[in-house]
Amino acid sequence: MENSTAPEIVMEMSGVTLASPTLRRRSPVTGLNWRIDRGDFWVVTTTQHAGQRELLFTASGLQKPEAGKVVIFGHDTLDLGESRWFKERLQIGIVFEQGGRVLGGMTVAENVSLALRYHRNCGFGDVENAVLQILEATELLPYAASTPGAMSSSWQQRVALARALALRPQLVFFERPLAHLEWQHRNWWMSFIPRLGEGKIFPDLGPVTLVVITDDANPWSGAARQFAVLHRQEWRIVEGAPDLDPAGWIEEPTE
Amino acid sequence: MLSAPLPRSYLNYVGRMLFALTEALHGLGAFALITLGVAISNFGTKRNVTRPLIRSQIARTGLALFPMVSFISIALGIVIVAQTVYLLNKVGAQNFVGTVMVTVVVRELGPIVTALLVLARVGTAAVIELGMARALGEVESLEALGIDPIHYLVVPRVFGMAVSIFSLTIYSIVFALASGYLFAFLQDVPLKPGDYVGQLAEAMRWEDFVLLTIKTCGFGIVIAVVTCYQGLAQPLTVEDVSGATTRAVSQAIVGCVLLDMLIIIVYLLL
Repeated sequence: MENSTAPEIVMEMSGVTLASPTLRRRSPVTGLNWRIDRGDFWVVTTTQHAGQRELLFTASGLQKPEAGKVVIFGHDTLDLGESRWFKERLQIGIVFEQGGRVLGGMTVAENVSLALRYHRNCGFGDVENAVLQILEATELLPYAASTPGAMSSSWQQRVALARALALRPQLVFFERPLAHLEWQHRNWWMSFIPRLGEGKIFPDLGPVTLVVITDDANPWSGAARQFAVLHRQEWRIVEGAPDLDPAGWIEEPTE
Repeated sequence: MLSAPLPRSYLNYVGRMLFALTEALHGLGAFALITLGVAISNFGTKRNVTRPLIRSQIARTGLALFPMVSFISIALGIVIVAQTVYLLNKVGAQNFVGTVMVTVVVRELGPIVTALLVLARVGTAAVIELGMARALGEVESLEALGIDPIHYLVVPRVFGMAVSIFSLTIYSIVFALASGYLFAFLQDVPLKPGDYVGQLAEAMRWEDFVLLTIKTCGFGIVIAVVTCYQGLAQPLTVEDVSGATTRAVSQAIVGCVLLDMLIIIVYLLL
């Protein structure tokens, strides 16, 4: 009899070598093994140039690994064609750092509605209710008609969050979500992300699997359940939030 | 002295140029084929999103450029057509006015001048817009939303520019022929409007309409593909955008002139 309580695997990396998007550097990390189960809340602590971007892109399926296997929602990223993969990727949301890379030529509402309109092949009127619901949940309703250029980067990042949640993803990656935020926004994000994971923001969506990639895990020590570090081309799964000083993250090899 | 070998640095320079040319041709060819593949495989899908984008491109390229193209065409008509009509009339060759006009304005000047104006006004803006989007990571954010950047950003530009250059060229030719004749007429050149129009109609063949359509749509496709390739197809930083714009302009001009040459050679051989 099959174990009904067995965790559902959302993403699994086996022996992965991360590829650098620019191809100017050598692969930053090799032999990476990582499994994310449904409902997990991971915090990955990294240092600069450790391969943070490559890890984010590979784990979210935006980039193929240089070697190894990445299985996301049961599909091997190397086996799926580009067009099929575009569809699978809809279950994954990414909130990028520093303003979230929102589209500058569109209003907040247009940014949030874009993915919905594109994938449902419809006009703004058809997705208006869904967009308003997300804007309300992220407290962006008063800014619906504003363009991101007229907003601070903290608010822009919140637009990126609303945009990433528009398709109701099962797995959401956050790239340094607290970096460069004003303090009141910081508090808001630290309250919002755990509630999103628990399924309290969109009850119809249920619990959402979360991955926060950051350079400081301490703000998440109470909320996150799984921790890992990526430092000096090495990947480790650790117990609890690591210290701010990366010197103790990876044990030095003994001579 | 002349038999002495070229300094190594010259050969290196030529070699680098050849490699760069090969690389550019390879990249542009691959990008054009990818765009074609995406346009075909997504044909008719996501219409409610892509159609407004195509309409917006036509508005930006066609409608917004209409006053400028009209002005340049009228000026071109006065400068070229009026002089040609005047000179042909002076040497008693007024019967060739139609043939010369169709060859110069309809087949050559109209399409290429319009294409260059579109490149200058819209093509450069497209490289900067896409280059900045690429440099600021907006393209990756589209991919993260499951939106194919080629389908969303490139295909509407290709359709929009092809349709716009075709339409603008028609207006450009009409304005150039009309303004040129009007100026010559005011200069008391003894060529009646009816004779002028009659000669033009006689000189035009059905091939000219086909040629004009292929050429103008081809220019639009070349400009769109080159500008989108330079803005989108490779990793850029904000500092790289100006260089990409310069490369796009020179490559698009060379591409349009080569296409023009190719079409005329095929036309003359047939």
